[in-house]
Amino acid sequence: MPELADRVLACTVGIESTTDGNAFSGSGTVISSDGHILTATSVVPRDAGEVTVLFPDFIRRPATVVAVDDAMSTALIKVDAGDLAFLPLARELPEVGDVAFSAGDVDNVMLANGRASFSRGIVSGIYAVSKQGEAIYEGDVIETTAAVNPGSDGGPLVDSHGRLCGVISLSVSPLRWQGVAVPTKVIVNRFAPFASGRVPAAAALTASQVAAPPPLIGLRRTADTLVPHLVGIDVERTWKPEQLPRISWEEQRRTITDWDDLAATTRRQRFAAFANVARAMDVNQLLRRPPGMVTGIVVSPDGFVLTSLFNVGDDTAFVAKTTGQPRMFTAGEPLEKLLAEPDGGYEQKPNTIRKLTVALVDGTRHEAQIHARHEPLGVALLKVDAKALSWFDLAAVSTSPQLGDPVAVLGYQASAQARPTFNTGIVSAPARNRGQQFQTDALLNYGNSGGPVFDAAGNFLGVAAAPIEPDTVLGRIFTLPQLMRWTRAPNSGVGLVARADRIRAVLEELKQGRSFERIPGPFLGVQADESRAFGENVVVGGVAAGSPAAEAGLKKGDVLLEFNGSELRHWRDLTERVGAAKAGDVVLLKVQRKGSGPRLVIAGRDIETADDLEKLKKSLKPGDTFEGTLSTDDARDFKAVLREQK
Amino acid sequence: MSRHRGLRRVSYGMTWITRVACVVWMACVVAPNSVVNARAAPAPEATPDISALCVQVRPAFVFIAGGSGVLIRPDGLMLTNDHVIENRRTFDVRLGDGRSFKAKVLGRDPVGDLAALKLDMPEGETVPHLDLGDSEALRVGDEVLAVGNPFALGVLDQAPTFTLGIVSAVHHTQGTYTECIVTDAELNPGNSGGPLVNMAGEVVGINGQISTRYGLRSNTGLGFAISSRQIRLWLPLLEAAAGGEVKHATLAGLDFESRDRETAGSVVVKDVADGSPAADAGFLVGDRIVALDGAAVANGHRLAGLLGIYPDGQRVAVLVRRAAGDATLAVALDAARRCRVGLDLGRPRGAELLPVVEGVDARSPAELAGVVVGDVIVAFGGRRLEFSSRDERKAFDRALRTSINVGDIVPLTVRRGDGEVELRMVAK
Repeated sequence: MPELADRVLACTVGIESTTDGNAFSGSGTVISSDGHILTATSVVPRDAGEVTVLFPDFIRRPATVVAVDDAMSTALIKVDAGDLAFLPLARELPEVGDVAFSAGDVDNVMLANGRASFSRGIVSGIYAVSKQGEAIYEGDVIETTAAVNPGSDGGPLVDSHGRLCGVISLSVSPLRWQGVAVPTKVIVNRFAPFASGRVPAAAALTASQVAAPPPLIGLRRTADTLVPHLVGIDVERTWKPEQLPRISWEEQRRTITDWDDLAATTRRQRFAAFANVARAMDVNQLLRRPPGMVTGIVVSPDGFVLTSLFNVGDDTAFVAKTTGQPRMFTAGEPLEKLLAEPDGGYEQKPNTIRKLTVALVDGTRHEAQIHARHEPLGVALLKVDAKALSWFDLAAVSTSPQLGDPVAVLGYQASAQARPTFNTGIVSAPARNRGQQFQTDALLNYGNSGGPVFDAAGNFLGVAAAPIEPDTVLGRIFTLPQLMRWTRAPNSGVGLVARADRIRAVLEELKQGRSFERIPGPFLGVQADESRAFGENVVVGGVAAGSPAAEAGLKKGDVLLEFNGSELRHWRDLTERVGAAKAGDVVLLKVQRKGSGPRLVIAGRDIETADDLEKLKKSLKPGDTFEGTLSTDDARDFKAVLREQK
Repeated sequence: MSRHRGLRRVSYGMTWITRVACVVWMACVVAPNSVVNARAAPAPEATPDISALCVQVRPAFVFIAGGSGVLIRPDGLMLTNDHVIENRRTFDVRLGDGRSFKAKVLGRDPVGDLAALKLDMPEGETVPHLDLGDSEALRVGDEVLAVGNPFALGVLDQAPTFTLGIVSAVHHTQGTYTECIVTDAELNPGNSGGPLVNMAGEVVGINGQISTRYGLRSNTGLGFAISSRQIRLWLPLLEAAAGGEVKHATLAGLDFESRDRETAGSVVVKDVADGSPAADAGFLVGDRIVALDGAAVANGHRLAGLLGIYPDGQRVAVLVRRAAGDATLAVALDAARRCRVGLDLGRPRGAELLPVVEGVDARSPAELAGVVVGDVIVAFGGRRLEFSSRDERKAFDRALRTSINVGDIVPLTVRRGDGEVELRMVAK
C-alpha cells in the first residue's frame, strides 16, 4: 500500500483560488502529464480569478481555468508544465465493496511535508442524489469510508486499479454522513472538455489492480448471502424532521451582540428559563433522525423483521405551548420575545411513530407493527403481514465475534438499482454491555443501523444497534452539553452491535410478544463507583432502593471483598458471579466498611443505630438468650437474597 | 445534501481526546514494519493477523483516568498524554491483563502533551510492555492499530477498544503537536494517551488529538499521534524529572520565515540576534538551512516543526549552505522561556469570535510591534484566524499565553478601521 500511496500522492495537489473578496482552498488531481487538473467547484468556482496549485515537494504553479460545470460540481484547470505524474481516469463505476483511497490537502498537511494526506477505505455505497441545499449535482455519487474532511474536496477518490474514479465533494447524504465523490464516469461523459475530446479522457489502463485483501473478498461473499433478506423501514412520526426547528441555540445566542458584556449573574437571570430549553432543543436537533429509510433484516418467512431499537425508539419534539405545533425559528428572531414566556414558550412532546412501512427486496411495501423490544440488546422485532418471505434463519448462528476479526455491515438503499451500502471494520471489543453487544470500528450511522453485521467466513454476527447512545455509555446520566458531544455520534468508529448468539437465545420469546427491559437474571442492586473503577477494590457507588443489596444493608462506599468466599478484584468479577447465580440464591458477601470504629455484634447482627437495635428486638422472642461482642474488624459479612429485577 | 464549501476550514475544530485510555508497551519482536509488497501487484497484500496482534498488545494497555496509556518497559514505565493526567500526581490504573496498580507521575511535557508514569510494584516484578518502534520508518499507507478507551466504554468490563487504519501523513504540525503522525484509525474522546501500534506490535505513536466536525466530538478520519521519535528524545528527561515538567527547547535569536509557502528546499536565515544562542552557534544572516539532525528542512514550516520536538538542553547538528560552502553547526538548544506578549484580549464575541485588543502593555513585544487598542487580530503566526466555537477561541488565548517563547518572531495581521495592517512581533 505505501507504493500506491506514493503514486497517488505524487498526483494530488492543493489548490487555492480567489474570487472577488473570497478565498477558496481544497485539493485536486493531476490527470494529464501536461498539467490538466480536475477539482471541485467548491475549490475553483466559476468566477475564480487567481488560481494557485501546490504540487508535491512544495512546488507552486499558477493555473488557468479551462472549464467549470456547476451542474457537476466539477472544474478543470491547467498549469503550464510537462512530464507531470498523473492518475488515469476510470471510465466505469467501481463496485460497492471495492477498496478505495482518498487523498487531499487537509489541515494544511502539504505545508509541512510536501505531500497530501492519504486514507484507505472502501466504496461503501453508490446511489443517486438529487438537488438539495447548495448542491446542484444530480446523479450517482460514490460514497466511501476513506477519510473525507474539509480540504479534501476536489481531491481524488482512487479505485482498486489505482485510477481516479471520483472527485471528492464534501456533500453528504443526510442518513449516512459519509464522504462522497462525483464519479469520473459521469464527468468523462458529461463534462464539456472531455465530451469534445479536447482533453484525453483516460489513458489506457496502465495502473495495476490493487488486489482486494482476502477478508474483503469473504465479506463481500457473505454480504451476497444476506442481501435478499435486507429490508428498508420507513419510520413516520407525528412530525417529520423537516417540520422541526433547525436553528441552533448557539447560533441564536450569537445574535445577541451584548451577550458577552453581561455579567454572568445577569446572563443567568435573563436566560435561565430559556437556556435550558434552548440547549435541550439543540440536543434534540442533533439526535433527530434525518429523513430516509433505515435498515432491518427478515428473520422468519411469516414476516418478523429485526431492526435496531434506536430506529423505532422514542423521540421528542419541542412544540409551542400556544399552538401545540413545532415552531420554526427564523434566523435573527429576537430571543427576548421568547424569553418573555416561561420556558421560552416551548414544551417537549413525544414525537410518536404514526406508521411503520417495511420495503422488501422485491419492491413491495407492507405496513409493520412493533411486536417486541429488547432494551439491553438494543433491538426491536417488527411484524409485517406477509407470507413466504426470503428470510435469514437465526438458528444457524453458531459463532461469536472474535477480537480483531474483519466484519462488515449492510445498509438499505431505497433506489431499486442501488446495492445496499457496505461498511467494513474489525471487531473492536467482542463483548460490551454484559455480553449483549459487541463493538466494531465499521462506521455505523443513521442509514445502516438495524443492518446485519457479519464476518468473512459467512457468519451472521449481529444487528447494528446504534452509534453510541447515552444509556449505553455506562448508564451515566449526562448533562446536556455532554449529551450533545458524546451521544449518537454517527460514523465515530465506535459502534455497538446486538450479538446474534444473544438474539437467537431470545428470539422465540420476542416472537411471542415478550419485551425485555433488562437482561433477565438475578439482581443484586449495587452500582459501581466508576471514579474508583481502576483501583484494586470493588467499591460500591450506589445501592438501588428496595434491592436485595439494600435489604442486606450494603451502603455506598462499601468495598466488596468476597462473593460466596471467592475474591473480588474487579467489577467484572462481581457481575460475572451474580450472572452465574440464580434468583433465590442466598449469597454471602464479605464487605469492608471503614471508619465506623468498634461496633456491637449481637446475635450475629451489627448494632450501630437505634434502628438496628429495634430490628434486633423484633427478631427476638422473650426469653431468648444471645451472645454479643465488641468487634473492631473492618470486614463483615452480609447475606443477600438474589432475585429477578422488577 | 448539505454542502460545506472549500472556503473555510473552520467547519471543523481540533479537540483533545481526553476520554482516552492509555496504552502499555508490550515486549515484541522488532520487525520491519512493512506489511505490503505491492511491487508485484496484483499479488494479494500480505494480510497481517489483526486478531493475534490485538491479543498481543492488550496486556500492555493501561486504563487511566478519562484516557488511555501504554506500558513501554517491564519495570512499569508507562506513557500517556499530559492532558490525561492534568495536575494529578498519582493514579489508580488497570492494565489490559486485569491487574491494578498505583502509578506515579515521573515527568510531564505539557506542550508536547506527553507524560511518563511509573507503576508502583514490588522489586523484581515485571509487567507486559510494548517496545517503542521507529516512527521514522513509517510510510504513508502502512497499517496501524490504535488501542484506547473511547467514550470510557471499557471502564467496567475492562476491555479496551481496537481500531485499525493506516498512516495518512507524517511530519505534520497540528497545534503544539509537531512532526506528528496523522492516521485514519478511528480515535475518539477516551483514546487520548493510548498507543498507535505498527504491525510488528511496536508503539510508533501516542494518540492525542482528533479533528472534529458538525459540533460532534468524535472521529472524522483525522487523528494525530505524537511520534515515537519525539518520545525517545524525551524519555530520559521525563524519567528524571521527579514529577515535574520538562521544558521544550528553542533556537533563540534565529529569525526565519516559519510559514513561507514560496521557497522550498531550504530556509533562509533572515536575522541573527546579537549575543544570542543562534549567534553563538555560528549562524549568519543569509545562511540557507538545509537539514537538522539529518532531517531535510524543506521550508520554514518544517523547521519550526522539527524544533518543536526537542527538550531543553538537546544538542542538534544543523547543516547550512553558504557561499563559502556547506557548514555543520553544532547547536545547543536553550530552554524555551515563555514570553508575555503583553496583549489584553477581550472576551470572545460576535459571530467571528476574533480577538479584539483591549490593552497593550508598555514596552511589550506587542507594543513594539505596533499593536494598538481596538485592533482586531485576523491572522497570527501566518495563519488566518477562524473560530467556530468559543472553545476554539479560548484555546487560542491559552496558546498566546503559553506557547510564545522568547526569541520567537511572530507575524500578525490586524484589522484597523477599514483596512488590514501586517505587523511583526519579536518576542523578548
